[in-house]
Amino acid sequence: MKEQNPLQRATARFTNIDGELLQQVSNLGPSELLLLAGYCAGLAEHSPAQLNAVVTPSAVNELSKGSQLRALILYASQTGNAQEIAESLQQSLESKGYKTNLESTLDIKLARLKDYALIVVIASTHGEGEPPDDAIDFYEAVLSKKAPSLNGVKHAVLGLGDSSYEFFCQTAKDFDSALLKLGSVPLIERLDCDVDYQQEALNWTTQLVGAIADIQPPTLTTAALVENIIQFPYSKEKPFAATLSIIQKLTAPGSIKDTYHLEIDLASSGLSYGPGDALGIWADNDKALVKEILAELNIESQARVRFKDEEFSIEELLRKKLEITLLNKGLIEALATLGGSQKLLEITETYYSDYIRNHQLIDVLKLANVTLEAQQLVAMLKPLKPRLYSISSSIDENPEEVHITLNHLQDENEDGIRYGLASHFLTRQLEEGDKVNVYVDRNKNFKLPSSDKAIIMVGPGTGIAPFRSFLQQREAEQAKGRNWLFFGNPNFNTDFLYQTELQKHLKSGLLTQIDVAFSRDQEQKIYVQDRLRENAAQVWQWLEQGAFFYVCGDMSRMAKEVELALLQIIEQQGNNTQSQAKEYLKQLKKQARYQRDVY
Amino acid sequence: MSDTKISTTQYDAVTHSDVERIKVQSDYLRGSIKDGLVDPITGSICDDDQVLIKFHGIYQQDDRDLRNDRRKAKLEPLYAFMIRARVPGGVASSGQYQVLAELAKKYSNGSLRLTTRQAFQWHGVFKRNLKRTIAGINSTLLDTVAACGDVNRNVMATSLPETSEIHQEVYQWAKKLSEHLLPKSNAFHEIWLDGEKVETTEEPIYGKTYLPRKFKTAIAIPPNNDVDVYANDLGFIAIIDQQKLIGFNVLVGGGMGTAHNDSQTYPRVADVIGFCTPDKLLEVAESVVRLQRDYGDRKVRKLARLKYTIDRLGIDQFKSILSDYLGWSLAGAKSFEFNGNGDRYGWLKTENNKWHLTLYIHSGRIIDSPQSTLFSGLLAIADIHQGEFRITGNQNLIISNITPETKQQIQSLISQHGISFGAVETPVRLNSVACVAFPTCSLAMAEAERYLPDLISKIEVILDQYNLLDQPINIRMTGCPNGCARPFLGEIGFVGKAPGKYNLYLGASFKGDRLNKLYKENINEQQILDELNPLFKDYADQRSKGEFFGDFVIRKGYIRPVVNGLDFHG
Repeated sequence: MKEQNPLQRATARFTNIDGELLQQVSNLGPSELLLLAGYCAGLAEHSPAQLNAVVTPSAVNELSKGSQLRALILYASQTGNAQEIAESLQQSLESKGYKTNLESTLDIKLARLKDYALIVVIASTHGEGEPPDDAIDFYEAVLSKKAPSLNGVKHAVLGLGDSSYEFFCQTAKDFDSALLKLGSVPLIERLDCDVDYQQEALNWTTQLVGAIADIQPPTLTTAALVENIIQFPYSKEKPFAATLSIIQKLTAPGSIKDTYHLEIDLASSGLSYGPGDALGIWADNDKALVKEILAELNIESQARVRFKDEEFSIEELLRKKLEITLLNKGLIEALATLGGSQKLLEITETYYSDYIRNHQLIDVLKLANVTLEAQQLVAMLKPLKPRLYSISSSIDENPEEVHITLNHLQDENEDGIRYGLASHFLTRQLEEGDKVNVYVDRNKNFKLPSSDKAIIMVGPGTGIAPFRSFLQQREAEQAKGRNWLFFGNPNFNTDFLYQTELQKHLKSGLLTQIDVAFSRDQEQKIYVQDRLRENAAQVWQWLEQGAFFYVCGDMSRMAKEVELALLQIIEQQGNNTQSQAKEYLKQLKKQARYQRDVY
Repeated sequence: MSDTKISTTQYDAVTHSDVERIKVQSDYLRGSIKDGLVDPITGSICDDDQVLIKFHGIYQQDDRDLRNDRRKAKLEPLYAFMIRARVPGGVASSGQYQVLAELAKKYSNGSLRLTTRQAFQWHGVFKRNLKRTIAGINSTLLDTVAACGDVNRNVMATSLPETSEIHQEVYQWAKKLSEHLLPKSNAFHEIWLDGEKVETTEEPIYGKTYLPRKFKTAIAIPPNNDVDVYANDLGFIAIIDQQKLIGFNVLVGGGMGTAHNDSQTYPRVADVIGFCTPDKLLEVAESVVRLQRDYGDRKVRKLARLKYTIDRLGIDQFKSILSDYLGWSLAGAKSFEFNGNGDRYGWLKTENNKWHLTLYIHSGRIIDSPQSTLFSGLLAIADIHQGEFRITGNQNLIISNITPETKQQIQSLISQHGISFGAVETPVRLNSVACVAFPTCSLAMAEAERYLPDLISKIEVILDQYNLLDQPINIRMTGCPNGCARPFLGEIGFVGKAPGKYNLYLGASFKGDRLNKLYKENINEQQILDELNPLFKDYADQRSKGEFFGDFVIRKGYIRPVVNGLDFHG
């Protein structure tokens, strides 16, 4: 079969798009394509006559003109959200004729900062206030003495983070103060966005574009139509009510893990996804937990409350709209102060991060011993956020289906067992056939390379999810690239996720090689990083031949250890010094040959 | 030994069964076992190697209770291995027993299984632990070579120790015979003990393709037929004259294995074909093995046992060919008398001033349970016991050669751990034998070990009704017709057909020299009890003095006697 390009594949199901049209489209240049995309998006909602009024030949000419302001848009992205915002900001600025450079913190040279009149930084923070992998070097550099003076430069910083972590948006804060210190002045004030960032971020970029226009008027105002080019029918805010068709436990009885394979029916949603993308799940809070919270506070379950200009019963609101499983420092402090709880204050001061690992709102309420009105409680809680799971299927192998692989999370504390929101909802409260609200969350930074490239996948535990998707995709495409998987879990007998599928892939030759590490099957614990080291020569050979290296799963231990092993392999096998090895890895990142989806 | 008229069998790729191909291509039992053991993606080994590991005393199995759930969970079956040690005559020293039990605790499902052929079995050993378990067994100077496979397997010998000197002498012959007929390939040492690769150039007795089928040998010391000597391919009956072993009667052609609904297959009791003096024992055994090597059917495995070879040749022709192999002829058989094939439980003192205690081990399973901490108790006993442990052909255990000094201590450990020596169970329970069957045996069609105790309890209720509880009746149950618990020699035999369904056989002799016959086919528990009830009632009313149940049902015409295997289906 002749290999199809992605557009041809994507449009294959629409019979009235012929090959000639596609051929013409693929011959167009970038600005023509952008305009056409905007035109098409407009067509989807307006009649051709309405659109003709907007798209004039002069508008097209204006596009390529450009203006005098040179702006740098710099993103430090972990999952691709910051990159996405940066790209849409660039589009928006370019459509108005501004000349911009879009760069990742991985690629930017420190000295070049002073070449720009405006520096926009969009930075996410992950873990305990750490910068994304791609930003570590730049982060250290900009805080170091080598950083150039930026007198006369303007900057704007947007932070992405999660307020349930202690060091909320720390990377953005640090960048902001570093730029200030170097002499730059803010064009607009920094904004720290929480997980629910889309609307706020959009408002901020709009504000920024306005502020730029104030110092340098745009050369083009009529091409606003290129914004929001691709409209998906369902989104985070407007999720699709999909049918949960299969709930299958993967780990066998006796396992210390409780891992599930879920199949979700996307029929008639038009939703699509690629390998590496995540599925967003809107889960309801546990009914029993909500009742326990209300009982603890002596609040009537039917008490009426207002939330975002709507009225709810407090019970319904807690179940569907408010966060009650994840704690944040502000909440604990507020409740501690209100109830005068010394114990709680001590927790926030001394062992906060240990505490929040296995405690939830209910535990804090028990310690706080406070009296709250229903509406007061609402004011203290954050809105419920969706949970993201790496997709473990390929849509080409499973049309109109999406699969995810997850651990049912539970932690015991002195008062009982606390469950993870979505994993408990999906595996304990829903049954096969029930509906669940989902959307596709794209991850630009975790993607398969072209089909002839070799890939090394390191995915212990549920980290195997995207690699199951990768393998299915490569099977569907009959991709020629070699595939090497490293998998690990505690026990071979009970925890070899997707064992029979992987055996088939190995037999068919789709999997070139698989190495497994079952940590608890022998006295000495063995992990994927140990298997990497055992295969050092071969890993090095694959890398030198251009292989792409992927890691998915636990960030705090596994991904760190894997990176250490990888650096060691680069150092020893390639006869490199430590800093040469670091540089080698950096180059891999730059070429998108080292990609991580870690959490 | 004369080889003039002998033509050794050659492998024929066209007509021979696939197992013959695997053997001939295996480089003397090596195959790719070594590679398979270190393949981390599966708990199994490849199909061809599964045939070969039997020669090393290992079967690949899986937990059949879990198969379906694991398939849905995208996990392969829970593969594990059954290991069988070769224990000639069933005798292990106390020190050996300790090591074997510790291995069970560490690497298998926590139990030791005594078999109907006087071997120890470990169930549920995962592939990653296989090598160390085998090495552990080897460290006791026991091994697993030829415990299964198309070779002569563990050689049995009567374990009841009435005359300890004769027992010792016969046991030594069993051991010598087992050693003599072992395969000589170095594969075992290379694979399991990291031995140097030594080129095997020939198997002096077996050749490249070994035997066409398994081969079982036993030696009985009358009056005990606890080894079921008639169920063996090759049997010897010790002939004692004035307290001295003067030689052995030779028996050939016994065997239990059949296939359901295939009248070409049948169980057969062995024929007594003559007598030899002890010094000729090895020569006779080797000649029978060579004859079977050359004349056995290599095309159809289910017709490959010696019993079919003999019936194909006719017993006279067989004896004549055997004389060719021997270069001489056997003398006429001597007379002997058996009185039963069960075990005699409890304490016994022998002429050497040592004590022996025969324990009742339900279905041969040594395990700790709420009723009895048998496993721990036996380990504690092994700690102080200076004699041996002997496995009987009925899957029981004899603590043997207990010194008068330790007798008291052992006695108190026995009661402390709730270990049975047959004092409270009914004779019918004490004379019951079941094979392993579910969940580990891949051949099982119905339960055996896990179910027979319940069925016996229900049978006991009926027996009690007719005041028959004191009457020993020999009951055998297997999960399939291959016959591990020798079901066709049970006065009442049950052979599994499907979950909860059994064929009911009646009419074997109590001493194990007459087969039973199919009485009812494919019946469930209630039907079994309904069929047995009137028979027991009649037996209670009409039996002659001392008449066994198996003899009674024949005399009364409930079932026709099976005089030889060919009558089994008629």
